[in-house]
Amino acid sequence: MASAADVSTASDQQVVEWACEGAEVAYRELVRRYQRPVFSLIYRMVRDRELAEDLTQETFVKVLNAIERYRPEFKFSSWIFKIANNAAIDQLRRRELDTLSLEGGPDATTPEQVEATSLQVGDVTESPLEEMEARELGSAIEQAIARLRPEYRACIIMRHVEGRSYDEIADALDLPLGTVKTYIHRARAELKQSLAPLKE
Amino acid sequence: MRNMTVYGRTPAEEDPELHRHLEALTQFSPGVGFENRVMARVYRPAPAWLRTARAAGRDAVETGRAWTVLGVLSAGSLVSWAVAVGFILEYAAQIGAGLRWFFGTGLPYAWETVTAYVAELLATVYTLVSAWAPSGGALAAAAALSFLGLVACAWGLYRTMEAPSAVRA
Repeated sequence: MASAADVSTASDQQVVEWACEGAEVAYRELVRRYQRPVFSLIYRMVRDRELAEDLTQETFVKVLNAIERYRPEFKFSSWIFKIANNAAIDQLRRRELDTLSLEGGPDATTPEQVEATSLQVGDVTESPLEEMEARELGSAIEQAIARLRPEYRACIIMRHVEGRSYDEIADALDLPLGTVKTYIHRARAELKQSLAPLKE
Repeated sequence: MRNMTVYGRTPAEEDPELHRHLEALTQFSPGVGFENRVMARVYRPAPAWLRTARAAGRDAVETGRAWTVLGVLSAGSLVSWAVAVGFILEYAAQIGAGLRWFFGTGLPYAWETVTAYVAELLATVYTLVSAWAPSGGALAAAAALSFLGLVACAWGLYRTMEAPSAVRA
């Protein structure tokens, strides 16, 4: 059985193998490895922290409870991102949140709801001025991403924020490779257009 | 595994400026205790040997091999019975003599041995208790205490049975 030290350096495939043998450390390692990217993707898609956390939890529970059905010829990350993306898209379809702005969702009527549906942009910078500029830029980018169509949004986040390959994105989002390239190309064009005023 | 990109380029090479902005975006984290909340809802698989056995059973049923397995087991059982019956018929006289000896001599001897042993044990215990026996007054006190204990138990049992079930719970 694997130890905590072994799993932290092992490949995804190896960790999944240990998980299939029932090793709890392996399950925990998979959660640790993917909780941030999966949560970030879902959060940027649904823009509601509580909801994003619920969906992330559902994603992990679904993946880990079906770990024996994982096929090692595919990347584990593609599989988990596919389930995460499907969960987010289903939620967006149900609640029609895809036109939310960074300042909060259309359903947000109280200050609490506005706060819950606003993305919290990072604040790690050197000086107050830089912090303000970074926050402004970060907010502008998040807003621009939020305005993209959900499928463009998922593609661009996976490509540029998570650094995934085109093939992996195609696998994860169940899209043809050509469609992924088109979506990313269009998403870049839209983002550049949205961010152009900031350069002036 | 597949290549990093279809063009062999990294995201940074494709669009350096946009990538720089997007890469700098915050990686969000779920709340504290997320890992434990997930683990509380995850069912870990059964031990490998059990899963292998289950899978083999499922596989046998699905592929129709179950009938083959059952057939082999039945044939094996039939052969075993045939061998056993043949053995009994072949050595019937010896087996009969053995059984007669067992019920006529062996069993009574075993019974006598066991009863003798128990009787000896009881005698030993009696001797030990007699040697250590308290005086008449102490014996009477012990008997009285035992009786009082018995009464207390009976009272407790009565109270328990009398009380409503909710109170008992």
